[in-house]
Amino acid sequence: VTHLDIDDEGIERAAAALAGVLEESASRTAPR
Amino acid sequence: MGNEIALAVHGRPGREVVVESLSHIMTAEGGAPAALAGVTLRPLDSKGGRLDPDRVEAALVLDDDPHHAPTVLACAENTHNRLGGRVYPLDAFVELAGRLKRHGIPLHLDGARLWNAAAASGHSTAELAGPADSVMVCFSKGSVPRSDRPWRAPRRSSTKGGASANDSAGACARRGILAAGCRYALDHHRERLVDDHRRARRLAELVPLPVGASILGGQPETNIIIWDLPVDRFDVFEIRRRLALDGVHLSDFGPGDFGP
Repeated sequence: VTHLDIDDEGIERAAAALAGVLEESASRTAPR
Repeated sequence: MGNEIALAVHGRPGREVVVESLSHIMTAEGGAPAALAGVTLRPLDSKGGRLDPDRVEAALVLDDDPHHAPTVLACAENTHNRLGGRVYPLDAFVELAGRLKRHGIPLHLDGARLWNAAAASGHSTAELAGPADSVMVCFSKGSVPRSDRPWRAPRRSSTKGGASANDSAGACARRGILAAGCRYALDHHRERLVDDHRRARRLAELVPLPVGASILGGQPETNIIIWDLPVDRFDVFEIRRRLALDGVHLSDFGPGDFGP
């Protein structure tokens, strides 16, 4: 298995996970 | 290790090698250029990894003044890792090689991702490497599973500096098994690199950029995406930890100025 085996579905799941964590991280530190 | 062999073959202790300032040889080979080849490095900034031939020419030390370290080699990286997998355009690489040739200075190509560069540019690896005097390629970049342990020498605490260089140089245990994987990759994986690049672009598209964040160099050309996050607003360690729980693994390049 190499990272070439990450398929389109895997990319979408990774993107969703990353987007969620970034959004949460940004909202936690946003200026009030 | 291939880069270090090239530096040792082209160089000699007390000589100088021109490199790109964020190149792997400059930033990520554990001091091995000094420890193994005995050369000093002259880092030059670039635009997306492309060295300015005028600046390179101006940086060459060609005199015989004993105060100076004569230039024996210049190096370029294709694709450029820390600048987001940028392809070194062939015409720019040809020009760089031509300028160096005028002065009798050889050019080494760190082609760790040369197959990616070929897949993205449409040029053959022979075309991309042709202007260089030596080239290193790396099978673990998208072709063969990484094999950290077999290639790494054990860390020796009693030789702190030397151990780091030795780690980069590596020990070639079980090389027959690795070579079989490399042969398989050449036959079966190269054509899949374009899919890898397409998926990298898709990943970049799907992740909304938080305010203040950017993708280094814009949209990915190959298989590397570097999200540049404001360090005062994002805890990268925590982001990596959280993502790892979901089976998503990121590399952290650390804080710093990654250039244009």
